[in-house]
Amino acid sequence: MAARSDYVELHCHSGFSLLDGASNPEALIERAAAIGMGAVALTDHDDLGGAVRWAEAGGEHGVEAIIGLELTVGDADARAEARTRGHTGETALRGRAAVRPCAPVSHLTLLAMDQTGYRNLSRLVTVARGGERGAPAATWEAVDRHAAGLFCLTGCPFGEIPRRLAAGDEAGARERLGRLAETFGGSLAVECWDHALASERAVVPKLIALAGSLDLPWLVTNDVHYATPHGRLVHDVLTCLRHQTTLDEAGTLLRPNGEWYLKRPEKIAHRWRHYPEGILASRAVAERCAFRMAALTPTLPAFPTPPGVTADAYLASLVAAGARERYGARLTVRHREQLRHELDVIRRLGLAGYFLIVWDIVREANRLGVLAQGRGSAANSAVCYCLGITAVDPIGMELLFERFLSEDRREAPDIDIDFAHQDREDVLQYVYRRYGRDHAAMVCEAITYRGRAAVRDAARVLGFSVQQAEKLADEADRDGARETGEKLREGGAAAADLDPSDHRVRMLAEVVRGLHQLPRHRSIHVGGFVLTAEPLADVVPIEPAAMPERTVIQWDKDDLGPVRLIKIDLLGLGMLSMIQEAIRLVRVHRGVTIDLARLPMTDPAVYDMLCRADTIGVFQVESRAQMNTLPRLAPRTFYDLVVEVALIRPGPIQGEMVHPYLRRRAGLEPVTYPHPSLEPILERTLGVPLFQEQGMQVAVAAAGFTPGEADELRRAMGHKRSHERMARICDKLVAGMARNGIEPDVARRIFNQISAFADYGFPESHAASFALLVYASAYLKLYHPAEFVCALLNAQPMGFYAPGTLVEDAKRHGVEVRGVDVMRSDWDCTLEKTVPRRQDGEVVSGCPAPVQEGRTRSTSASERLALRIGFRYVAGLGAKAKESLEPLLGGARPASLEAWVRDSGLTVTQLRTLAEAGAFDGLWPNRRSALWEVLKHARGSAGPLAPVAADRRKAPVPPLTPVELTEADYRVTGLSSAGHPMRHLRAAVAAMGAIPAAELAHRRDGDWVSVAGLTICRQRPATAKGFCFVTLEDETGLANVVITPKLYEASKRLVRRSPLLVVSGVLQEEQGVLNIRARRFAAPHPGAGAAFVTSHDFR
Amino acid sequence: MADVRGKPRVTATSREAERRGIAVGMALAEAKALDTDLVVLLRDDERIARAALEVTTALLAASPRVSWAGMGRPLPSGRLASWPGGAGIWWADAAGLGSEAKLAERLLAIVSGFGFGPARAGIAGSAVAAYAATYGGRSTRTHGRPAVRPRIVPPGGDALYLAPFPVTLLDLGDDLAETLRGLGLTTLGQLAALDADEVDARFGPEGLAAHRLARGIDARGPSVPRDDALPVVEVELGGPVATAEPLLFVLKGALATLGEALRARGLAARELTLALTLDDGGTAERAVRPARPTSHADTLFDHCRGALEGWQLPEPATGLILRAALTVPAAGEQGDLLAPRWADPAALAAAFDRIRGSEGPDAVAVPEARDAHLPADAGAWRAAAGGEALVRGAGGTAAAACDAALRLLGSPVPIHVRLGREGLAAFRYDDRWHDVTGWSGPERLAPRWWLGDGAARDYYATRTADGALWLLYRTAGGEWLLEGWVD
Repeated sequence: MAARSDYVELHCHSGFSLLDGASNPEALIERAAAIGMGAVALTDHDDLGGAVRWAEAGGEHGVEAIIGLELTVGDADARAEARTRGHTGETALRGRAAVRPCAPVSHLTLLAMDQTGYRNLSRLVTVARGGERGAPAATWEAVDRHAAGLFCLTGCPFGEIPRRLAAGDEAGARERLGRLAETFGGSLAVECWDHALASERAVVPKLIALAGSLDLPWLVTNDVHYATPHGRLVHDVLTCLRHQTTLDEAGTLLRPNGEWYLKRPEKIAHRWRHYPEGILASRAVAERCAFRMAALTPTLPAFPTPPGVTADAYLASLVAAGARERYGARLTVRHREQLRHELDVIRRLGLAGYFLIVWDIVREANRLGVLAQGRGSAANSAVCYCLGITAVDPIGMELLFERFLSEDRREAPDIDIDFAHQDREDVLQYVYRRYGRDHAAMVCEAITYRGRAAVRDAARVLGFSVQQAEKLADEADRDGARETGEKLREGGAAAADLDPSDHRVRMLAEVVRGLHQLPRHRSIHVGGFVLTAEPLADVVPIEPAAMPERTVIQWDKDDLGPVRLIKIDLLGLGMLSMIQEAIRLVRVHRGVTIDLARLPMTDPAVYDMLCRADTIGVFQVESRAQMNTLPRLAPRTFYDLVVEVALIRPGPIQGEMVHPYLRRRAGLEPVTYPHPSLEPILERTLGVPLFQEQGMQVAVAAAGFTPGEADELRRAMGHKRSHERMARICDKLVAGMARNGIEPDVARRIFNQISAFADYGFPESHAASFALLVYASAYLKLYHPAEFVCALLNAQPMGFYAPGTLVEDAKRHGVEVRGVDVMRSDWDCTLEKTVPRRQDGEVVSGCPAPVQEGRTRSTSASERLALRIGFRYVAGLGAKAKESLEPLLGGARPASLEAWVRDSGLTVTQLRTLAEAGAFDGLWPNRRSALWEVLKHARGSAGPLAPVAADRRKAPVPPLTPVELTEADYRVTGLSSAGHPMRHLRAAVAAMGAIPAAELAHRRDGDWVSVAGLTICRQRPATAKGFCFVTLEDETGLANVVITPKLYEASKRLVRRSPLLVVSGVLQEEQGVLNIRARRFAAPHPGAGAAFVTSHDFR
Repeated sequence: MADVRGKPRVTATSREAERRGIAVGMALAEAKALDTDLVVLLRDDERIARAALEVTTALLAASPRVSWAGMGRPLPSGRLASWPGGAGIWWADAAGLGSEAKLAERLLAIVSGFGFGPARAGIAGSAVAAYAATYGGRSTRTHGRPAVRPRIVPPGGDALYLAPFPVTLLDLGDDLAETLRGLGLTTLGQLAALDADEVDARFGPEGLAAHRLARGIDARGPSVPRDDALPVVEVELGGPVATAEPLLFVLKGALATLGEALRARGLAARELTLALTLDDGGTAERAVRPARPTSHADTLFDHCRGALEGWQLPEPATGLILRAALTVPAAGEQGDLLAPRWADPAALAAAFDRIRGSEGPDAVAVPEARDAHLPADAGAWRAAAGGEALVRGAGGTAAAACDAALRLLGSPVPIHVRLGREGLAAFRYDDRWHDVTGWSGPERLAPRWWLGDGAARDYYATRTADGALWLLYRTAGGEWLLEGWVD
């Protein structure tokens, strides 16, 4: 007789059986613990994505977490069949499709007995998922090859053996079982189940008999798909989503009852009371499945070093060489000691190979000409600096290495490297090539259900209309699904005009709650790469990503730590693309080579420009808030830029540190410290904590935290914060500070500051890395404005401002801007030498051809460059148009409008847009006439009976007025070489009392002023207590407007929607910063293209 | 709010919402961000159609030809009047109705009576100019209430009137609208001024159609409303008639007229009422039912003559009235239901229509299998359309034989069950015990939880001593019910 506790569930699906499992791994383990099940196996469909979480949860709840999976297996046509049935293929079991004993796919339950078994599980999933996305299936041959270390169960009723038996094909079932017995030897059992269905009850006796006839054991499973009976609702909804149907239409696609939950062992024991051997066998098998995830010990690939040289020695030699290059004569004993210390730590942690790998990636990026720079805590490492991974000298900056790497923490270092975003793919492909796709892959990101998606999906499946679903989704705001479910129950449904007493509405709330954090789909992590010495597929399944040429592992970044996989973040950064391109343009056109590493960081002219907040397009300091701070902070040194970058962040703003810092810097208030012990930590930031490191150091100094505890504090306040954990640490921090004699209110204030910026603040090293880019971009803007704006436009989309604003700013900095021209423009924007003009503005000689890299002599510094807008800025010209145009642009361009229409391969709409952009001006005067002509040629031959169009000498269309010209420019390209819309509207707004923005500088604090401009930016940050900040742009510059919450509420229609605003109010001048405190608004008709201006709104 | 290309968008606003910045075409999210108190109503096309029908019916009192032309598009503001979200448009024929202005005012008064807000009317020789005139009407104030005087475009002056209107007045495709804008052709006058062949060469048929409208050439207009009333033919006999011959003579012509009226409506008469007005002022009636619904005058005449024969009238007749009392949609050749070779869908549809006519609209139904777990959900009777059932039957698909059919009770009946050592022993139904000789189950099936009943039921197929097979189930609460039996 089996005891109730003998039953072990060996077939259990989590949410990682995407759209077929209705509980997360943690919920299943919790349930197992609650019902006294000491061991349980995870068997997701062709997926090990939940394995780490399963193991972690098992460890936490004292449940033996067996790892397995349910493999889709079949013959060569399996994938196509699996695709038609949905990935589980279970449709065939229960309706709609007839049971076919020879269907090409079936299921097999596999459990890892040892590490070899796990490796084979992972390989099988990799093989199964190696084909077409969304239709995983492995062949029987693959199962044969990878059977070692695996215990095989014959699977659910969709397994080949039960299916054959159900269809009366006993011989076929026996043959397949015999072959499995040959493959798995003594590690095979027949799987039986009872979900109170006649169809199962008809098969199970045959399964037991068949097992007995081959002298094989049989065991009971419940093919679990959700933790508790309540999970059935969610499972039904997921099933509908998988089959893209509604509950009303789903019919037998849904399971007939709710028996697929993790049942109490005694319930299973009672149901099988006459067959105890099936229960006992489950325990016996569980005991044989001894593999646990903790046994995984992946290693990094060994980096090839010169013969006889260890990785540690090779790293040391590279660091020494780098130190000589980086520091030169400045290399002191202190530098050497720091480097030695870091190398020692790296050696003891066995991480030399990791640093060499990262160094190699950066080296390759340099070779490819892709700008790269480390960010984040890696900038705390002098080793990273000497290897060229980071660009900030941590010794000079006195940055703390332990923030990056510590023996206490025993965790993998985290090196994030930014690459020029347009060329990052080259680097990624290098990593794939260098280590092979068997050893390198990107990390995935498990996208889970949050409120809005949960409401939309659940509402759709429950039969609500799209509109109703949308109204309901509005109730979700940014909440999680669980909170959204609560909201719906507590009035949200009524607010969406639904009857909360209606049964479907109540069920909707339940389902939404149930979808909380269930995986919805899998995407690629923004840049995380993992590398292993052993084949990566032995550690974790790899699958092709949606993007071509990318492969991803099935684990999320948070799963890597527990299994000691090290991630390298290879990120894309638009600003690096911009700088890279600008440097290239400077080299080509000026013959000047700019080395970022050798930029003088002390150029007063650069700091002057920053102090003027002349920073449109400059990295990190171009936002409205940053521009407002720059004149107050008045940066004069590189460290000031580090502070500037870190200061205007949600953390310091929420912690109310910005104004104290600025006042102290301006000498308006004394520098004080919350406690004397904090002075050494906060001295460099005038007593105000600004960086994450300072927060941690404060915890150590003021509350007696160990470095490990301080780091725990940082992580507790990190991305996935836990209130309970935070509360515990807060109590500990306050208690520690009390022990050190810090008053409770001071202690509370310190805690608030730490918690504010620990989450949303920058580490000092990260701010320093970014500050370098601030300086570099400011330098380029100041000395090479044409190259700067050209590169910026070519790197779009990036940054804060729309191209129109960037172009207007460039014009204000003396850059001549020329429109798109089919005879001169390239796809990207280019630079042309300016042409001398006579007094009357006429060109002396014809325009030169566009400058081509490598064959045009350099332009001397005194010569000016004009910006030529590229085809990429013409609306409606995308990748396909680029492909069509490139052959023409690279060779002899068609010399007539008719030839362009004929040969360009562009559509009529695209040609029309080009004409409207003035791109044919060189071939056909007057844009509208050109369009008239284009239309004639574009229609082509209309056939012999078509009327012959009268060919007038002059097109019967009116010429463009200057206003229409600007309007057309903005409408078609988002920018204008001809002039700013406000230039045309100046007279009208002047009549309303508006002065040009540039004139504000000549007015006094407290003056009543009116300005008019295009609203290029609207911001209402959560930290601003309801204030709204608007930036207006006119033909002379920018004007900043501050709107009080009350006024905003009264005028939000105008403020939010009007592309053109006239604002009247009081001018405020504070430390060189001008703001208009708005009192009144008017919104004139947005003529001259103002309506087409793109603004940066509420992002 | 309605779904526009998969995104919820504002399709109409109240004046107040418009004042708060909500605009037609705006994404719902944007509108809600503008005004958190916004009341959002789903667009109800059915309601709009009902309202349109009501108004159309009312307008018919003023003009015999009125058509609902749908919802107009909201026009860009400017000098034109516009309605937030567009307005309902009706075409009405003013021809031959006297003063156009008075007619327009009458129409306006009728529409205003519905309380939909200010209405406008324009009168012109073409629909497009009338449409423009509607937008161009002038607002006036009458007795303190705003009113709009109808704008009347002088005959022959449509093109001239249209000339200053923006091309956006026309319902142009996006591409054509963009092209015209790009060319600077912003008014209908500019478009009309182009040569037609130039337009055709550059813009194709769509451009040519727009060009015609810009010149005031518009084929659209009001149509005759459909007359749903059944036809009646009345004939005065000129004096009292006491014999059948004169009646039959008149009857023939009357039936020809009636048949024509029926065919115009696409109908066939299943029953006629033949009424005679008597000399004393009274009437005598007889129903005439042809063997098959028909509009054929000769066939109907035969039946009517039969009815007249032997009809003893108390007084001479002075008039004759023929009324189509029951009709069915006219169909093609009708066949004989009993003829085995008969499989004419049109004729079958007509036959079924007769059944529906007498037994109710759902009288003809076909069984339909449904994909569901519960027996009660696994099949349903669905009202059949036309000759569907028999056509299938003729093809043999629906005639597939079954050995047995599950017959469900109207609703499950609670029963008493006696359990023995082996499980089910007997159950009591219809006042007697049925001994169970075998059973299979339980099959646990759960109803559709989203419809309000999620509790699982354990089903048992039960064989009784008399050989019958029954379907029983036990609820989660332990109650036993009989759901049906296998026939």
